[in-house]
Amino acid sequence: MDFRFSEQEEKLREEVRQFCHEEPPQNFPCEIEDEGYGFGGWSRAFTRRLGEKGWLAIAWPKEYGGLGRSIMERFVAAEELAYHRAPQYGHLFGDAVGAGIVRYGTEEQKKDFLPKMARAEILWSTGLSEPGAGSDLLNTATRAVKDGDDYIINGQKIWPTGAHLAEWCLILARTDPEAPKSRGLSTFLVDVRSPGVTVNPIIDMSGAESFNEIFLEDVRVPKSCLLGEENRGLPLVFECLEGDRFWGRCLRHAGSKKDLEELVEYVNQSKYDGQNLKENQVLRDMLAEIAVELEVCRMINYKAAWLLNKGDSISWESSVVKTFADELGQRIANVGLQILGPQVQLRGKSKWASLRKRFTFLYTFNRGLTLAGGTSEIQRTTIALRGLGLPRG
Amino acid sequence: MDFSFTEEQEMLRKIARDFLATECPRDSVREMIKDEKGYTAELWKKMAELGWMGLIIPEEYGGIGGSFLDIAALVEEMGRACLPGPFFSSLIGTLAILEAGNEQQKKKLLPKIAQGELIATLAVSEPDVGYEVDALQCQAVAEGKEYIIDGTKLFVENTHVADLIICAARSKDLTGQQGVTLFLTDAKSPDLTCTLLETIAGDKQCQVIFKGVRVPESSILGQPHRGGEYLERLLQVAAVAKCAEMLGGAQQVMDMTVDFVKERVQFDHPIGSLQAIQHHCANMMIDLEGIRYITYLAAWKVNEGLPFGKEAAIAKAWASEAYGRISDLAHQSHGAIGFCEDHDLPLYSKRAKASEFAFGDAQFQRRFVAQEIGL
Repeated sequence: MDFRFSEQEEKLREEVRQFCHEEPPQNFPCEIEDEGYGFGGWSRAFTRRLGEKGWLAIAWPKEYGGLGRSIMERFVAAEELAYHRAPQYGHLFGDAVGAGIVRYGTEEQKKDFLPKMARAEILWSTGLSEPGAGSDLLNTATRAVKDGDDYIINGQKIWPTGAHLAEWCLILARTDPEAPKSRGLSTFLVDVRSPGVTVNPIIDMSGAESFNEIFLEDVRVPKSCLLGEENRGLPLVFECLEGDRFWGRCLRHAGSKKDLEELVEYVNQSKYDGQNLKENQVLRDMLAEIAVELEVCRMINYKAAWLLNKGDSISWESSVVKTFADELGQRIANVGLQILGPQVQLRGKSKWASLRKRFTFLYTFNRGLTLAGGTSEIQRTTIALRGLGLPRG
Repeated sequence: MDFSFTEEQEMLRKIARDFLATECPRDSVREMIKDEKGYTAELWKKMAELGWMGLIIPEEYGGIGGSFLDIAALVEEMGRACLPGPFFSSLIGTLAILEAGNEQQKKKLLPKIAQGELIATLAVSEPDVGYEVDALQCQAVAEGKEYIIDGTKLFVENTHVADLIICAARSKDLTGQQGVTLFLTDAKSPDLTCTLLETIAGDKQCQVIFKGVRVPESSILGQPHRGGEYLERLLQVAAVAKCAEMLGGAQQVMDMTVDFVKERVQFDHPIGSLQAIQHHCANMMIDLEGIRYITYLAAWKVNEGLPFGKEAAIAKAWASEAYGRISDLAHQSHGAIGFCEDHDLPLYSKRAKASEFAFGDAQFQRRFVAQEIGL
């Protein structure tokens, strides 16, 4: 047992830390603000900068533009960036799609896409959910019909984050309607600028514009954009989703450490109802509880990262990561709001805004954490079935 | 980073698991609850032969010279088996001697402990004090070359079978400055009254009244009046060891529940196929995973000699509440059968409550964590 990072990992962390001091991530403009998942906001400029550093493809093979380094190094870099609230959202979905291309892509696809993705020349969203296929992905109704060397796609996708900003989207579509539900699905790499694609932003209850719906009307996609085998899209998507579940949530402990530090500083300096907040035992206990949970969260995340790093695949473990992280995120927001008091209702450019604004936003947005990327209920069912071997209902 | 035990540790775990499965079946655990002594000399002897009492004791004092992670691995298995008896309480006494004892004390006591011939226990809590070292009431007054100890200690484990009590008492130095001193006291002293307490878990916790117990200066463990620091550190190590025991117990509760819900049929299906039950089990699993890794982190820090106070407090805060939640959901999933006195589950859920308080409950630990995060 050893919970130290290797020298090489620590060296990379130090490099990232240095970078965050020299080029504060806050100075890069964000197209989507930090929604509190732990990986920061969506920023094309910052993603490009990471691309220049080679940090978008740390663990990809060198021949496709990666650095050929370990998953743990990739994790350490992401963790350090998260602590500095660097906007890493812009490449989150590219990570998932990239993992799919590395594993299932043709040589041509690898050469075509990966180097460009590593440099952030193209960014991605993923189009999986549909109005009738949320948790039940097997119900996917979007159709892809072969037409010579092309496929023609028709259907509707909902919730792809950043589809209005990204160039490409991974689309799950049904290629064999006769086959059993799970065996007739395929994944396509679709240029969002193709004729027939319409992207409409969805404004969520926090007022943010990050989600979208995508309409696909007779969208012609060349066969070269089929990722993996035809009708074998589901395992691929699950694999990418596992990645998304882990990589999309494994930074909670780092991102929220900053939140905790800021709340502690606020409590140490503030008074309410004539009392120094730091003398309020209830608040002290609440913050200590968050500190405890963040440390537990960190270890759960490290365990999964360690498994991935040694080449094991993770399944129910990523559901543990995601559930713990998302629900903790909601608790942190709730504790923050309770500490910060009634002014958290204020929106916009109030003079009280700096810390409160973040928590006000998190409160409204965090409702989505336990829904996006698989609801907490689906995660729990996954843990029960795959982690504990309980019988399917 | 490495989350795995070494091959030797895995072997130790396996030996312990197999041994305890045979030698400490649940029926004997239940029997020992009713037994006044709470363990059998036969099992104690076999454990001593396996070298367990001397596992953490260096070879020069007749032990095996194992590491704290070895102990954590062993104690985890003992928690899984719900092992009754004074192993754990004597381990804490052993750790106290290792931490604060002088050469003479170590030479005299540790070989006997390693042989299973001497049982130690630690007396800290009192009727109005848990583990807040500065608040202890029990007094030790110097008189010549002796100290006279007066006070009541509560929840002292296995004192009725112990040979040695390490007692924490308030004392004054020559300038009148108050401090805490640790004393090695003879558990059989005539001025000491030990009463076995009736507890829900049927574990053997005692009330010990010190009434003019005279001990020589040479029985002071560590520095006189400066025992507070040793004691705080010792309590933190003990909390980590307790977490390892709780981890084993929680794992057993999880396994027991999964087995049960796979077997139990209602509405023509195993109840484990129902989402309500599946989600109970998933919640238990999430809490259990949390206990596991935070415990290993704290144990590793102790093992490496790194500062571990914060991690120990965090681990105990989490384990105390998470094990409680796991027990609650296990009972809910087991339905009425788990409510029976003769069922295995209450053995664990009652111990979970005892463990929650041992070496500081979650709120106590969070008071410490609050300071550690800068509040």
